[in-house]
Amino acid sequence: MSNPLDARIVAAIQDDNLSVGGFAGLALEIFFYQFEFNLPYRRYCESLGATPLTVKFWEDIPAVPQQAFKDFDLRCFPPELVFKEFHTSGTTNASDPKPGIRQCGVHFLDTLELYEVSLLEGWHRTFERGLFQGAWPLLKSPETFILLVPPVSDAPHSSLSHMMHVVSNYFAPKGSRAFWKEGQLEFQRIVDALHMACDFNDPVFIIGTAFTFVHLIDELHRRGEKIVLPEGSFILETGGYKGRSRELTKAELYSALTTTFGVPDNHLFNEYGMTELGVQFYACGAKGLHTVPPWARVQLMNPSTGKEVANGETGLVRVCDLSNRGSVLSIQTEDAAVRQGAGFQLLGRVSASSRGCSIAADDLLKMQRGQS
Amino acid sequence: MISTPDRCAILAEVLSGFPELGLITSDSLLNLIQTELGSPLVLDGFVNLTGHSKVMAKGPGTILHVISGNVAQPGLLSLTFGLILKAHNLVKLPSHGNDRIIDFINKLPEPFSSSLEIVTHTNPEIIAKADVVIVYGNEETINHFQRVTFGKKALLYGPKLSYGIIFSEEQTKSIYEDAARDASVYNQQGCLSPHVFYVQENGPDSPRAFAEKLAAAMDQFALLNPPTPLSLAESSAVVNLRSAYRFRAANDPRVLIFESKKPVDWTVIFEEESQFATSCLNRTIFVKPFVSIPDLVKATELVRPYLSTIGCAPLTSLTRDDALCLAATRYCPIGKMQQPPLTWHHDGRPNLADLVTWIDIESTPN
Repeated sequence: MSNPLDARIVAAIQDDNLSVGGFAGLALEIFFYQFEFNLPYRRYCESLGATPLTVKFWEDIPAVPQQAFKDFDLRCFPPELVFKEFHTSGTTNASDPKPGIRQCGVHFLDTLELYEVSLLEGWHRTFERGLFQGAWPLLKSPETFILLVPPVSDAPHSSLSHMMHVVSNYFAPKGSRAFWKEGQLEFQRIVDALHMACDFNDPVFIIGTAFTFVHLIDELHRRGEKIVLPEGSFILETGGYKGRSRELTKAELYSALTTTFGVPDNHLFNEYGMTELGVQFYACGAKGLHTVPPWARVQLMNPSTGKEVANGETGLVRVCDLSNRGSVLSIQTEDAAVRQGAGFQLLGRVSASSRGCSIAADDLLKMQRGQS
Repeated sequence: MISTPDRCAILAEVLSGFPELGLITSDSLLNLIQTELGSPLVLDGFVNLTGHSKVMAKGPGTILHVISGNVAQPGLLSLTFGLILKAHNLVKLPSHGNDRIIDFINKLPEPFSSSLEIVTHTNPEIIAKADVVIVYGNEETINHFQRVTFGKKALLYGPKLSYGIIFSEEQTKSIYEDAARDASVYNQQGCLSPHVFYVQENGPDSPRAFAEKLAAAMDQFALLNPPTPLSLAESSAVVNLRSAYRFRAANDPRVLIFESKKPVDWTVIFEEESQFATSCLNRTIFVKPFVSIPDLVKATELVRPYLSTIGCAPLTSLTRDDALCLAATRYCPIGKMQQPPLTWHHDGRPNLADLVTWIDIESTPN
């Protein structure tokens, strides 16, 4: 392990009893480290008057806007130590492309260890020991595992593809079934596999992005088919449309998944994560709350006051993630959510489209996309 | 039937309660008709305007006005023009309402009030009733009405944006206050609201200094005219833009950010990069340098299809060739961007002339 902090971060991630103080202390240590070695972040912190001398609480660690991952190389190590790059696929706003500024955010990692420990610990907590234990036995059988995300060879910079690669290697080391060929989903093979699962009454665990499921639902609808999956089947969707299919609300998507595949709402999961982070959050059902693992904190910020919202109120998701040692641990997203006790109900990105004949940045982006 | 001069007098009286439209008098309404149609009398009878024909201009029987939710002015004027032209007016208000339009309708005396009818839908039956459909709205609304009004006369006013130019000859002391007013009134919600002020190099203020002085003026304006509370989406857009530019400013000396003490009241961003930047609105304005008009043409190329107004200080520095190659449909002084005159060609089109049909009676040859 290259960085002396990493062993302690791994221990914290794997610690079922990580204390509030333990989290706070480690978060501040990581901040001090990032302040020292991540120069663009340091300058940002200094401009806000936040330094190791002034930041006393983890809540005061300056959060980085997602846009900064496009504008700057946010890493605590020199370029020759970059081991892996994850690229965003347009999570952040790009209405005004500027010369010299890349169009995607890049998350640089000098090691995959923290990312992978965080990922697998999240799965153990969620599916083995957490709320969704019913899905656990399925993960132990590779035949049940149906991946609707492109393989790493097709998408080397996709954090989602890497995530599924790690998960399937871990749970199905003999090989899970991927359904991609030459950059396209293989609908017929998926349909055949699902029919076979039905014939043998073997429950399946299907994983894909929201837009992939919409394509699959639309394709089955076009063919006039429904596939009622065996009882005990699960579906995990990772959100995100980004203009690649018609967009459904979460309630509409879950209703369509239940109608098309016969999978009940309490067997439908969402994974909320982002390229810029190591941690993921999981929720069950259309109205389920996302849970926060002990090595992360989610604050919901009121943009009009700059303060955290009260329980039941809506704010913008800010994540503090101990597993993000190599870049920045605190990130301000553009996603809105409702605070519900220790969890949150995700609403998704809020768009400030104008109400009439004016044009806001969000509108121009849509209009330019419409033209291209 | 009330004569056109009398209609104008009654409407001017009602419009005096709407100062956001500027001073509208009976004479200014008659002047508009004179300018666009040749004479106010053509709306009441046949008039010999050309020497060899008598002509009369007839307004549409029924107009459907689809009003947008951002600002009230286009809707108020649209209804006024419909009433001048003696049309029956169907009014579709935006889903969030528009209080000023309702005020206007409530203040109208008979017979004008019975010439207005609020509709809650724009279904095919309503559209079929209208001879002309006038729509103000965003891209989605415009695309929708383009489809559903196929084969019908439709005037569609889609989304537009504006910017300002401060030429190096500008010497006016009030320029910062004028620019701050243009960028602040109606919380930048109108298509006439500037997104960027381009400041020419080698003027009395460097573009950076201009940005700083503009920020002070924005602050002063906000003290006297506090912005209305923003929705979560709006405040989120401001905060996201600010934090992204704060990050850039901390790392790049070519970027500066000035912001209100309150998190979302106003923001001024100076950027040496001259490419046009679209604001997230709600008193968020960019200041950028430029050297020459050809530079400006290049920097604004992406938004040319959406350009409405370019405010200029001083307007006298704008040449005819500049006006043609910058491709806006309106040029005005900085400080007046939000107050177009009544005779303004909205998006380059006439207000009344587009709506009337002419009837010609040719004179008997001698």
